[in-house]
Amino acid sequence: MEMSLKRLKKDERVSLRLREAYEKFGYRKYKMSKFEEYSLYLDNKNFLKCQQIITFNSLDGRLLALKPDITLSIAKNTNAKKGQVEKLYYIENIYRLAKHTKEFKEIGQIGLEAMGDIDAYTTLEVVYLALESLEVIDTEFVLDISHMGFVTGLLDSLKVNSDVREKLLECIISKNLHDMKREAQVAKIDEKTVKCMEQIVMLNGDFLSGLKTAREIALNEAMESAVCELETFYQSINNTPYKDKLRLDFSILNDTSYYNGIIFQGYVKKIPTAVLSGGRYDLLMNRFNKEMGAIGFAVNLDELGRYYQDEKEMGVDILLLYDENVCASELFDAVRKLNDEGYRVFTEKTVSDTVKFKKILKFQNGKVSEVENV
Amino acid sequence: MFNIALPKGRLADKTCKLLKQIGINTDEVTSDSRQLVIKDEKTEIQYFLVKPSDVAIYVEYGVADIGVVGKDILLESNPDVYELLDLQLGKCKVVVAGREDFYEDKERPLRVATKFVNIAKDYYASINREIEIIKLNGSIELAPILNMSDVIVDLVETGTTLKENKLKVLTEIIPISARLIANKAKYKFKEAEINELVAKLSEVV
Repeated sequence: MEMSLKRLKKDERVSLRLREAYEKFGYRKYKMSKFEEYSLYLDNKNFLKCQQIITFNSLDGRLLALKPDITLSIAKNTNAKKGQVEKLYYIENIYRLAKHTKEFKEIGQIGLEAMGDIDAYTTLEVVYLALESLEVIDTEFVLDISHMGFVTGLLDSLKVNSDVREKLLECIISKNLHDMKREAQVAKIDEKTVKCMEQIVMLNGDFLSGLKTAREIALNEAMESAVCELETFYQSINNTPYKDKLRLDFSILNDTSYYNGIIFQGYVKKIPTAVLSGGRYDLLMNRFNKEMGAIGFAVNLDELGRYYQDEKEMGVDILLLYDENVCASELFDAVRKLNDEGYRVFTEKTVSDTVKFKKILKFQNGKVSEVENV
Repeated sequence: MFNIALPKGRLADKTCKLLKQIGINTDEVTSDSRQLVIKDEKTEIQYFLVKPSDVAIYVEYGVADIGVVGKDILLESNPDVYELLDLQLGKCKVVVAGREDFYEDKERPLRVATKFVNIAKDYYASINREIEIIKLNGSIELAPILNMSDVIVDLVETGTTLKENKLKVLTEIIPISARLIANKAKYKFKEAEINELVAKLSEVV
C-alpha cells in the first residue's frame, strides 16, 4: 500500500527521507540491541555528554546499560579493515538525562558513521549528507564547521595549567570575550595570543573570510595544518549547492580526547538547540585499538515533532456516523471506499469529542449521505 | 526583529537606560505596567519581563533571542547560551560570610547555607573542603545567627545587611555583574543584528 508522506509526523517523514538519502550513497542500516555492557561507558565517560546512565543486572550478573549513545557501540564493533571504509547508518532510541526536567528521556536518533580509511572524499560525502539532512528538516538551516586542531593547537601552545585551560575553553565556547580577557590577564598570557583568542571568538561565521583570518592568526604548526585541512575541505564542498549554508565557528568544540579534525553542528530555524552534531573521531577508534579513522554525525529527531507541530494535520478527514442496526460488512465496505478515495475515516455512533475531523457524514440504509443538522 | 528577556525590577530599568543610550526606545518597558509582553511597533522589538532567575531559561528555550541576566545565575544554572557582553550593571560579589566571631573548625565538614548550591559546591571542591549544603531561598543571613550553619555563600553589594546582622565577609568567591546572553541557534540566524547591538552596547558600558 502506498502511503502519503504528508500524513506522517515530521520526525517520521524526516527519518524516511534521511534513510533514502543515506542509502543512495551506499550506507547500510545497522540494527543493534538496546543494551550494552556498562563498562563501555565507564571506560569512555568523557565521550558522553551526560554521565547518568540507566543500568540493570542481566540474569548472569553482568551490569548492563540502556544505551545513552550509539557511536561508541558501533566504533567498538566495527569490522572495517585498513584501506577500506565501512559505511553505516542507524535509527535508534537512546536514553539520557534531560537537562531541565532531571528525568531520563527516550530520544530518537538517526545517525551515520563512516569508519576505516577516511580521505577527503569520505569527509566531503559525510558533510554533504549532514547538509542534506538539515535541508530535509527545514530549508532554513546552517552548518557550523570547526577544526579541533585549531583551538587545541592554540591552547597547547599556552602551557597553562588545566584549570586555566578549562576556563579559557569555556569562554571560547560561550563567545565570552570579557571573562576571557580577565582570565588571560590573571594567567599572564602574552598580548599576541590574547588577540588571537579574541579573533577566534569574534569570527562572524562567513566561511571564506573566516578562513582568511584563521590563516593570519595561526600561531603554530598544529593550527596551520588545521587551516590547510579546512581549506581543502572548502574547495571540495564549494561545488555543491550548500556552500552558502556553511559557517566557520571555532566556538563549537567536542571532547579533545576523542575528536580530532573537522567537527560540525547543524541548526535549523525553528529549533533553539543544535539538531545535528558530528565530526572526525579517530582518537575514539584508537582507544579500541583500531588503527583507522572515523567520521559521522547524529540527528536528534526528538525535538522535530514539537517545533514543527503546526505543519501536522491533526485528526481525520471524515467522521462517519452509523446506528446500531447497521450491517457491519456494508459499513466496512463504505469505509474502504472512502479510504480508496484518499480520506481518513473514523466511525462512531455519536459525534465524538475526542476526534478532530473536517467533515461529518452518516451511513444509513447502505448509503453514505450528508448530515443536515449536527 | 528581536525578542528580549529582561529581569523584572531594578536591573530591567538599568538595562532600558542602556538601550535608550544606543537609540532604542524603551519608554513602555520602564513605565510600571503589569503587562508581561511589551512590543515596540517601530523597532519590532518584543520585551518579556520575567523573574531574574528565569531569564536564562527563556533564552535557552529560544523564545527570547537574547536576555540580560546576572552572572550568579549563569554560574548556578550553567545554561547552554552565548555570553556576549558584560553590561557592568548590578555589580556585586558572591562571598563566604560568617559571624563576626567565626572560627573555623577544620576537623568537621563545614555547614554552608546558600541559595547558590552549585557555586558553593564548586568553590569548596576547588579548595578540597568537605561541606554540608543547606539550601535556602531567602534571608540567608539568618542561618549563621541561629547557628543553623557555620557560614553562608551569598551575594553582597554594599555589605550593609551583613553588618547589621553582625556578620562579616570571610572570602570573596567571584565578582558578579549583568551579562547579555543569546540563544545559540537564534544567534546563527540573526547574527548581524545581534552583533550590531553588542557593538553599540559595548561602546556605552
